[in-house]
Amino acid sequence: MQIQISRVQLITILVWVVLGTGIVTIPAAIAQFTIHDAWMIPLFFLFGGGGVALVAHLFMKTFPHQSLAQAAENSLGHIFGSGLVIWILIWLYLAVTTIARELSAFATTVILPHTPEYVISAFNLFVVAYLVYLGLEVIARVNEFITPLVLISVPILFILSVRNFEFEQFLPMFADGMSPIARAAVVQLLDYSLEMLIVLQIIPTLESPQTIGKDILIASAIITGILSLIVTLTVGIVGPSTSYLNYPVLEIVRSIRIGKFIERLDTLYVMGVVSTLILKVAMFHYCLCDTWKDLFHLSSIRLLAWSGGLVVWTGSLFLFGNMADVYHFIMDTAPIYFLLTMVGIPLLLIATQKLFKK
Amino acid sequence: MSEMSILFALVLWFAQRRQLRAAPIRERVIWYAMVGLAISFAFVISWHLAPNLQPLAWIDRLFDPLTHKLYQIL
Amino acid sequence: MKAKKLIGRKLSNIKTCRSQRTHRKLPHPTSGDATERTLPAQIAKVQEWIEQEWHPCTDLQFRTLRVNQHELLLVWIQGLVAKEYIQSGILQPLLSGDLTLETLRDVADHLQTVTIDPIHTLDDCNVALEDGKVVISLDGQSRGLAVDVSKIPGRSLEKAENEPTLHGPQEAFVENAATNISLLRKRIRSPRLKIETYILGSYSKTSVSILYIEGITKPALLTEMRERLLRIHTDMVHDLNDLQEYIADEAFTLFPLTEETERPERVAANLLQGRAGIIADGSPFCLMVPATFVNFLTSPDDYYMQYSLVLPLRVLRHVMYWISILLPAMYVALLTYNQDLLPTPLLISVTAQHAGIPFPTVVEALLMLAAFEALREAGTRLPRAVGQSVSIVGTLIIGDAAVRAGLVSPGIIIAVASTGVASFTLPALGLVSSSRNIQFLFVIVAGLLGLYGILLLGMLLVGHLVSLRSFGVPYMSPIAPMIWSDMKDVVIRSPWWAMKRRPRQFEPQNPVRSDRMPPGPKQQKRI
Repeated sequence: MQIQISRVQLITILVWVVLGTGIVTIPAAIAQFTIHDAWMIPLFFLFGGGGVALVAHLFMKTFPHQSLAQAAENSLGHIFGSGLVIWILIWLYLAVTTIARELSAFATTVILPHTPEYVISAFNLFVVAYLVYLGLEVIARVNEFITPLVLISVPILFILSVRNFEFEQFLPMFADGMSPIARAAVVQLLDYSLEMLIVLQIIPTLESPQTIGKDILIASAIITGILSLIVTLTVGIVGPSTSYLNYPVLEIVRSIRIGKFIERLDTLYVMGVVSTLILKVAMFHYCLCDTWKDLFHLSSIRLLAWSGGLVVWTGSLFLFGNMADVYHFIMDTAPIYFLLTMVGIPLLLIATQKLFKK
Repeated sequence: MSEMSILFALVLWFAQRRQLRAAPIRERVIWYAMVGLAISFAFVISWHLAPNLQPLAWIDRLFDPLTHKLYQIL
Repeated sequence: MKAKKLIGRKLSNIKTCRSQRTHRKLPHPTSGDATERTLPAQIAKVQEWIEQEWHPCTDLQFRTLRVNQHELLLVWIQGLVAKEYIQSGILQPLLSGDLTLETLRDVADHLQTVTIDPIHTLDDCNVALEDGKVVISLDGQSRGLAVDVSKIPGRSLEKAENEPTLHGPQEAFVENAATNISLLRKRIRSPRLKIETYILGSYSKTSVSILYIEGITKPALLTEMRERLLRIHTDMVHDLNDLQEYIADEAFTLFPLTEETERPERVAANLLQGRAGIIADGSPFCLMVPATFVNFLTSPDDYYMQYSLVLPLRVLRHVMYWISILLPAMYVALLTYNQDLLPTPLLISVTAQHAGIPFPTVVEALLMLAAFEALREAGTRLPRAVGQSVSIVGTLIIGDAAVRAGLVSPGIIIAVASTGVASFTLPALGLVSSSRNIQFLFVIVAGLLGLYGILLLGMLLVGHLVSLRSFGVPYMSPIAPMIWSDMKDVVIRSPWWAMKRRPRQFEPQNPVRSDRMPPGPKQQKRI
């Protein structure tokens, strides 16, 4: 049966591909550079989204109905193409292990601190592997199913927390000039927005690939709106502490207290975040398996989903000794690595196709 | 963790043994390679060898200086 | 081609516009190649063969008549025919007057019955007898006649007991397929209502019919239904529930993938949506396919009430479904792992109730759920009057005694009883049964991992639900995949005048209900 991912499904996938981890780590990452001007950083996401949309649109025009791995092989030939696909595979593996580690660390720290992290991680990846085993259509539908639930519950949590908001946290504006703002924008521009380019691998399954650029722009607008709300609220409520808290958004939910019966709602927030994080890992794991399938010309990803899940489980704990390693990877390695891989490779393929295959 | 990874590998093999038997040799080789890799990672973690191996050092060496350069420019 | 091979032959001479009665070529259980053997010309041989074939069957009846030198053999099965019709429709016309019966045509011309079918083979003869017909063989003719004077025992129309409604029609299907079809014909008076009948089960020879509206139902759905039915090779089809398992898309699921209803008007409405129905002789239900999850949270009453009143009821049912699955597990998680979610006074109260209970909360919950299921099962199996007493005795007396004895806490009694009440709000029994099983799984994971376990199992459940299909239609549509135009009958029930189009999810051939815009409030104001 031909998989068909609708435009709505693609947009929900893109939103959670960024916000799955973005909602947890972006406020803290921004706060490393600036607090007073933090509210304006998410607006830069639109530029990243625009760039990603442009690359995706050009790629789709040049390689209609081809995935990134297929295009690499078709454009550069078997040997060079395969080399490039292996590079993409390594990137995908590192990305999925990073997210899986973020997920397990978050769940262990916040929900079950006495349970070993590898046990939590195993449970998470069981769910992820099951979703990938069922296929992309199922991942897309779970995205569609969960999105309204999260979009209803999370704004309620934020509205309830508004009474602790202090506008003074944002003053004075531009106190340290533009430099901290530009540096704070790097992570979300080069890490998170570029993650959206994994959709290049699923182009053959899209119901309407010709609108991919437009869909990425719509998703970017939604993400920018949500991120702006989260970052503004986090800094407005938590203040300078945002820079040294691991999960500052959690603190704003913890601050909710209405009467004697509505309080300590952080568990509900955690449930929402974990579910979207699982969807993000599932999407990356699917793309990893699909790239693997394209590289080795396999018939399906059904065997890879589970065995690959096992490698991601152990790899997430092997590659990153602790959360400091993860943050180091996100802040210091990923920006240029992601830029060269997810923008460089598609542009290289497009250029090769345009120059030599005409 | 190593015991758990072996247990998972066995359960996985049991659950997918029919699919594996029916699959072409290439898919079987990849499956066994993946499971073997997962178990070896698990043993490396269990024996506390991971910090000495620094598996991401090569990628850090490649991209960290470039990223730092970017931060400096900004 | 394959379907053609499987369908043996059609009894094309049946003069009824109701159905195409299609027989599959099945080996006779005892005689091997009975289908190939033509009827002997001598009635003595016919009698001998039937006697051998049916021996010992004391309900098999023979009668030989001599009319003007012509010998006739009448065969029937006692209990399946109306003797008064044999008397008035066959014996009286044949024995009155001076008749010349040289051919079967002469015999048929004198009979005073409605349906007469020709018989060519011994297998036809067996089928006719099983159907409650009288087989007539004329000496010297290698064919026979099957005269329908059947009077198969069955009950008369009654009220729908499993799907009761306050408003709307009350009659329900019975075990007779012909009666059930006539109940549908009463509601859809159109030749476009088509009925295709197949005989399934080498011994039971159950007639199973596919119902659909030509021009509305997607032809691919019908092809798929035919293929799935014709793949069934078994000796007996007891009921539609057997068929349900044979034709379902997924074997390993707790969720019903076909919808069962006993209400003819519900079937009629569903057929007009582009779905198809399956009825079987002997089953007082109709299976509707494709079935989606939201179909099971829809009550017939929703369509007889004012649309604005349906919204809160639908919301309530959706919430109650998830409560029926999650409430005991949430109780266990909140008390075992996530006490911080409970307001302090409530936490103190619940913990105090639990003091002195010998079991951990998860064991307590599992025991209470098992006890509740036992009571529910006892109440269902026993005669109604006794069953109700058992439920009341069980819930009130045993529950109270268990709390007093310090075996369980009052909190878990409240949680389990509320779960039971929540499940009683669900209109479809299939969904209730699945939620009863799933709640145990959730309680176990809540005991192991708290709310986190509930979340993970919830993700697995949602993944499983969205992966299911019923005859190609995604089970969770129109929620996932989202079909906006079909959301008008999910959580809300739009007014009838707004339901201009049939649900897109079933891909009807003719998606529009009427060419003219149905009258809405605005148009009426203009008048």
